[in-house]
Amino acid sequence: MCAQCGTQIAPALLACPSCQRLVHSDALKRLAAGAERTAHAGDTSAALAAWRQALELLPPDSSQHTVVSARILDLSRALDSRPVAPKHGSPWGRGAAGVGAVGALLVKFKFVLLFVLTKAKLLLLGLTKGGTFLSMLLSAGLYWTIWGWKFAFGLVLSIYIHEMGHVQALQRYGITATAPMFIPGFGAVIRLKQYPADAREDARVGLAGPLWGLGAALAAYAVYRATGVGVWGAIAHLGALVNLFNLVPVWQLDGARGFRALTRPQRWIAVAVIAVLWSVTSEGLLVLLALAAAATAAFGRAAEEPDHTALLQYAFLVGVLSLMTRIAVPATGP
Amino acid sequence: MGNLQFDHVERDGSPSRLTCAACNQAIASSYYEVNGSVTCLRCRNQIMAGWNRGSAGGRFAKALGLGLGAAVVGAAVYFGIAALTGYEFGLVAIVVGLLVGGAVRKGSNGRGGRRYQLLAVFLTYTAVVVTDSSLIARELQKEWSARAASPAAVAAGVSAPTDAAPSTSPRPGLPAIALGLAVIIALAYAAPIMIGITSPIHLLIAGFALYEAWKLNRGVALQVTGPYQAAARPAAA
Repeated sequence: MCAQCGTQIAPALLACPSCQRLVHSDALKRLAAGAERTAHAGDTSAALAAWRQALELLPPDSSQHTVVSARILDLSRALDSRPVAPKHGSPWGRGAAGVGAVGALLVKFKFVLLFVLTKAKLLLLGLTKGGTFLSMLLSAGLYWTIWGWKFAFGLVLSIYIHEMGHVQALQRYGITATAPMFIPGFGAVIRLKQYPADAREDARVGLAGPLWGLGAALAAYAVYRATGVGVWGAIAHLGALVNLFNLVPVWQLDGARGFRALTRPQRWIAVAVIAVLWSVTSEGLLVLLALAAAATAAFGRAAEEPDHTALLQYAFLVGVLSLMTRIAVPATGP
Repeated sequence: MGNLQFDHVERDGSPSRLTCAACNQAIASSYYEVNGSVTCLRCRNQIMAGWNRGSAGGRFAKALGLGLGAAVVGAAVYFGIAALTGYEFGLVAIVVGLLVGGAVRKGSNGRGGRRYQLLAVFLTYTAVVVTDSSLIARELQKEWSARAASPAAVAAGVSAPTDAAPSTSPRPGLPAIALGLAVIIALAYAAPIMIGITSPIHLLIAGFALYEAWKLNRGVALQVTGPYQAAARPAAA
């Protein structure tokens, strides 16, 4: 019942159909205040999350919906223009900065350490989700029966790190999503509960998975080089292949999300990069990438504004991952 | 954000009185909610009549027919691309999933639901089975040709007695033929999984295709609630 005019309000409506009073008026005011406060405090991700929550309580055809959508876009773009950094500074870091080159080095080291620690924290926190952990074990069990436990757990861990890349990017942009869910034999999925503000944001979230996946493959390769244990080389090799496959710009694969932010000329540049890498590596998967990318460049709906970051990330990923598929893996590890 | 208020909805050019979203006519006393939209009694009745048109069996038969046709077209696209390019792109399976899923959805009059999801997944999987079986058949043919051409086989063929008596083994009966067919079909349906063990990406793509077919046929419920009473004299916004 509308408190203002007495009209009965159907449960699915966001405003009284008679007097237009917003049903969630109080919650909207609270969310808006919270968003402004956190934005002023410099926590753009929290502000974005609050505005996105508010957006769901507004009728899509209202002026307020349009204004809040624009605000989300502004904040998201502002977030992109600054580097990913740990949120909170500490006094010892500022003190070290005052003692010259050694201090600067310490500050840099602190930055790297904090960066790694925050990512490690995110990776560990992700495992506390029951669904993720259980489905991960199920997947590992299936792969174990085929390839043995070492490779199975390595592969599942690689996929998990890939998915957590998406999770980190989603958190950065304040987008609500489900925890990663492993589908034995197929990989893993995350379902977004809110839409990205634009193609640029979608590309950042989409390519974050392969970027983290590349990190996992490189780490496995580093262990392989250090220890000579063949299974690490195999994990690095398959990890590179799986992440490269994800860059095929079709359907809902990560590559398609990256491509959405590219203009037509940028897409042709990506095709050229893939072609060059194919001539260098002869990796068959690159033929598939090139064909799909060329089709998307020729017939797909391209972005109007160029997104140089998305193109650089895509080209970098295709480059390093395709080179990694050349890793010679011994048939049997020690 | 200074002028942003959250008390009342602001809309450009739309009426602030109670209006039917379907026919844009003003509503005087009571309204219904149809999938989130305010609707008058007349439009609500029209929408429900349209939704209940035709029988459940008829819709399923139509979905089956259209889905089968789409599966055949999908398989033809796969073989067509293979013939044109010389490459067998497993990724075409996703196109098959989209085609079949879309056709089944059309057949169900856009309703979707569990049985249409299962039908779409079954038909998509069957199309994948057909394409995978052709792969296996070709590999088997190559192996048999290689065996037939091997020196041992040639030697065995030369030394075979030419005056051998005709085979006296009895022709298989109907149950044996049926059993044989069942085994062949079961093996064919296991083909994508068997190929997937050695090529996980193949299985992954097939999974995407099945997921698309499933997703396209998610049940769409017609949610109608009401009537809801409108205030006799709404307060000014």
